[in-house]
Formats: sequence, structure tokens, C-alpha cells
Amino acid sequence: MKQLLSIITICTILFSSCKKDDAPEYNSNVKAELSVEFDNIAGSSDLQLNTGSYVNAAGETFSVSKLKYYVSNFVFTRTDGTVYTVPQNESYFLIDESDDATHEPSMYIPEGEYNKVSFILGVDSLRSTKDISERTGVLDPANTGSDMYWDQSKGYIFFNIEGNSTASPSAGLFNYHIGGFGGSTIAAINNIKIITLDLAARGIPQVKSGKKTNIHLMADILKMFTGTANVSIASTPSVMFETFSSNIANNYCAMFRHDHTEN
Amino acid sequence: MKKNLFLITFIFAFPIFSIACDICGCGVGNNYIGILPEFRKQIFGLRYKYNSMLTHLGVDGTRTYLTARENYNTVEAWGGWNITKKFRIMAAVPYSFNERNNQGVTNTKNGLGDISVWAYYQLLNKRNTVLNKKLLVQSLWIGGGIKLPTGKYNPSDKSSGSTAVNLFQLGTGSIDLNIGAMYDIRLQDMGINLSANYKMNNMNRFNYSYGNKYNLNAQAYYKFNIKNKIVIAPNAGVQFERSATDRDKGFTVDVSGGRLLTALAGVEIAYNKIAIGCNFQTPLSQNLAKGIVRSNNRLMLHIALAF
Repeated sequence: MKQLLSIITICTILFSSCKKDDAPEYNSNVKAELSVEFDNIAGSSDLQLNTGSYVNAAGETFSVSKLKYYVSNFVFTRTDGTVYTVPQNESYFLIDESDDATHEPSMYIPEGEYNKVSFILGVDSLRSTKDISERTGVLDPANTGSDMYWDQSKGYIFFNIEGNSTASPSAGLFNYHIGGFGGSTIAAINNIKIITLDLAARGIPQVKSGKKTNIHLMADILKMFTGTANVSIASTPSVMFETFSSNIANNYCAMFRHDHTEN
Repeated sequence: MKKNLFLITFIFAFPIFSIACDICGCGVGNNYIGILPEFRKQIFGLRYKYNSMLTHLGVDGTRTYLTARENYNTVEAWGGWNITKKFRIMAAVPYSFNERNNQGVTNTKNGLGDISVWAYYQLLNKRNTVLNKKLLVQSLWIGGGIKLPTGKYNPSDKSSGSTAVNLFQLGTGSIDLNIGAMYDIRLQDMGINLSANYKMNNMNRFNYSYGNKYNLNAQAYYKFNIKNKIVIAPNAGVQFERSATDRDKGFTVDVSGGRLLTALAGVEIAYNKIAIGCNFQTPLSQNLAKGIVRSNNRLMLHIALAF
């Protein structure tokens, strides 16, 4: 019995001495870095420009030589339901598969835990019609955005994918330049898509100063070819500013998944 | 002859409290290691464990280019010493051969794992004759143990995006504590064994702590005596494991913890001083690391010498 008592005593001492660290406290007046990673994939493969070979829903083999798209107007919802909208001027990004530096746009948002993110895939109509002086950086049509802009009436190309496929009747090439902000004076094609993703199921970002938090999204380009309407490279190797473009936009707005969060 | 009888009567009465890899199995890796042969003075054995899992699964369990298959092979030297009739010490020294395969590229990590030491006390040891002279034996053990950070913990394996699940380590890097209890009831040759174990993990020097976990195990066994020389004891049961989420610098790690229910079946064979055994575990239901990790089947083989 004495032995038993001594064992119990030892256990009690050992176990009471190890207390877990308390949860961090968040100060909503302090902003901290949060990035949203756009990891472009093709099914179960990482997307490799030019060298990777993929098969779409129509069974067509293709490769991708260019993939660029705009993401903008980020809004984050905290676990308590309150919402933080990133200031609009700091909220335009151009994801370019050929440039790693563009894959993880960084923002500064108040400390806290967030369970939802939403953003526009494309450029909102208001910004699309603003004076050129208010469309700088990635939105500058004379610079970074040069291959992502048509003209004043059509506005920006939101999503630009080009590549090669033996299925294409047009010299083995395909290109999909998808855009359309709805028109400024006369109603036109509107392919502005708001993407909303739940973050709770795969890991809540815990945003806190002194560390970087990364929301790792995966964007599966195969989804572009299927969903609301199947897209075949053989029958439509090139889609620009035309009504069919809405089929592609409806497809690709389902290509984003929250894979995990790096806290 | 007397010695043989002793072995036949007592052998396989006591499954060990889990001594296992903390990391394999997403923190719920309290691998069941089989029914322990009974011994008078001391026992030494070698145990081989195989355990594999898929890590970094995509949404809805799909495989992405980040998905990896991780295989954990562990060879463990272990021993037990009876200090008094009611008090015993046990220790295990594991050596792990771990491999991780992603997109055709395999990384390996071999080395010493975390050494653990246990002390057990027998609270109850009752023998009655019931139902037409059948022997009813009951025992209850409680124990406490300590796990030392002898296995290498590499903090850089934790942070990179492609290995967001912090499992591919040889040790936890922390001194961790265990408590457990085991109850065994046997009517003649047929028995039921219940055990419970709770493990409390501390923070390592990189401010990472694996989630605390518990496991519950229930199984039945039957001992066949063949000419009073060989004992063959098949056994089968279920095990439930649950682990809290890990903490990294105080922040909860969502891709950790979870629960796993497995079915297990095995057989133990004893002849004179030698015992050999094996068991197989297969998941019945699981939700590990929010579905990002999936546990596969596990296998264990062992050989021991009892004195």
C-alpha cells in the first residue's frame, strides 16, 4: 500500500507540473501579415508550364504555356462573425504561374482567427472604369497588365490561359482570354466572380504579429473545362470577349479549394 | 515440468500498456503492441512494427501533388523486470526506419527513437474457483511512465508547406508522461482484457507540443494448450485512439490530432521460455487531422525470452 501511495504521489507531482501554454491573445488594433497562396494544379499534379501534360474532361491532352489571373477585393471573416475588408487600393493582385513571386499575395489584416475568405476573380467594374491614374501596379495596362487588358469598353482580361494541344484545329494552340465587367454605359458580358471559401474545415488562419500566416489554396485548372458546361479545345480552341466565355467563367469559379493553412 | 506448467498457466495474461511511436499515427500512434507474455523475473524481447499512412490528402480525401505516403518501420528492444510480486519496471528502446514518398521521390529518416520507461503496480490479483471448478482469474495493474527525448526532432521538417503535418520525426523532442490501467479477467482459458492509457505531451525546446492523447483497448483471447508444451493464443479486439491538436508556439495546429478506431487480431505462441507473436490492425473508422491524414493497416511481430 505504501508503494501504491508513493506511485500516486509521484504521478500527481509529475502531471501537475506540465501545463500547456495558453492560447495566444489577439489584438484587433494590430495588423499582421497574411498571405493567400494560389497554388495552380492540374488534377493530382502540380501545374508545370510547357513541360506538364494534362488531360481535360473531354479527353484532350494539352499543355499550358501561360496562366495569369487577377484576384482582388479580399474580405476576411473572423470566427466571431465580424468582417474585415482589405483596403481596396491594397487589394489587387495578378497571379502569374511563370513568376513565383506572385503566387502568395500578402496582406496586412487585424490579428485574429478567420474562418472565411472571399475575393473577386477578376477586377471589379468600378475599378475597371476608373481613370488610368488609379489603375497602377498590376492594373497598369502599359506595364504588368499589358497582356491582361483589352480596351476601355471591354476592360481587363480576368483570366488568361494559353497552351498547346493536338486537339486544337488552330495550329495546335488554344487560348482563353476571359473577362467582362458588365459594361460601363451599355450592359455587356459580366464575368466578375466572387469566390468564397470556408477556412474552418482545413485549418483556421491564426493571424498574429511576429509571424506569417499563409492560406494555401489550390486552383485546379482542369475544372475550367468542366462543370456547368463542358469546354472542348477541339470545338472552341479560342475564346475571347464573347458570350461563350461565361461558360468558362462559370466553370473556373469552382476551381479553388482551401487545402490547408500554414500558421 | 513445473516450470512449463507455470508458463502455461500464466502466459499471455497481460497486454502491455502502449509504448509506442508518438508521432506515427498523427499523434494517435499509441500502437497496440500485443499481449505480453507473463514472466517471473525478467523478460527481453525484440519487436517489429510497421505502420503506414497517407498524409496531406486534399479536400474530400483526394490525392493532390502534395499527398505523401509515409511508412514507419520500428524495431524495438524491450525488457521487463519484476522487482517485487506487485511491482515491475519496463523499458523500450526503439530504432526507426521512416520513409516518405511524394511524387516518386523518397526521403528516409533512420535513427534512435524515444526511449520509454514504465513502472507498474498490481492493485488486484484474485483467483477463485467458480462454476464447476473453473478457475476465474482477475488482475488489475496501474502504471506510470516517462518518455525521453532521445529521438531526433528536426524543427525544419515542420514548417515547410509541403510537409504541413508534423509526423515525419524520430521523436517528439519532449519529455512526456504516461499513465495507464489494465484489467484482465479470465475464466479458465478464455479471457477478456481492457486497457486505458493517457499520454501527456510536453512542449519541446522548439515550442512545439504534440496533443495529449488517450487510447482504449478491449479484446478477447483464448488459450489452447497443446500437450502442455505449446500455448497458442489467438486474440481479437478493438482499439480507440484519440488525440488533441498539437500546439506550435501556443497556436493550435489544425492539421493534427483526431480519432482512430481499429480492429485488431493476432496470435501469440509460447514454447518453454520463448514467446513469439504477431498482430494486425485495420482502421474501422477515422478522422485524423481534419481528414488530411489517413491511417493504413498496421502490423507487429515480436519474439521474447521470459525468465
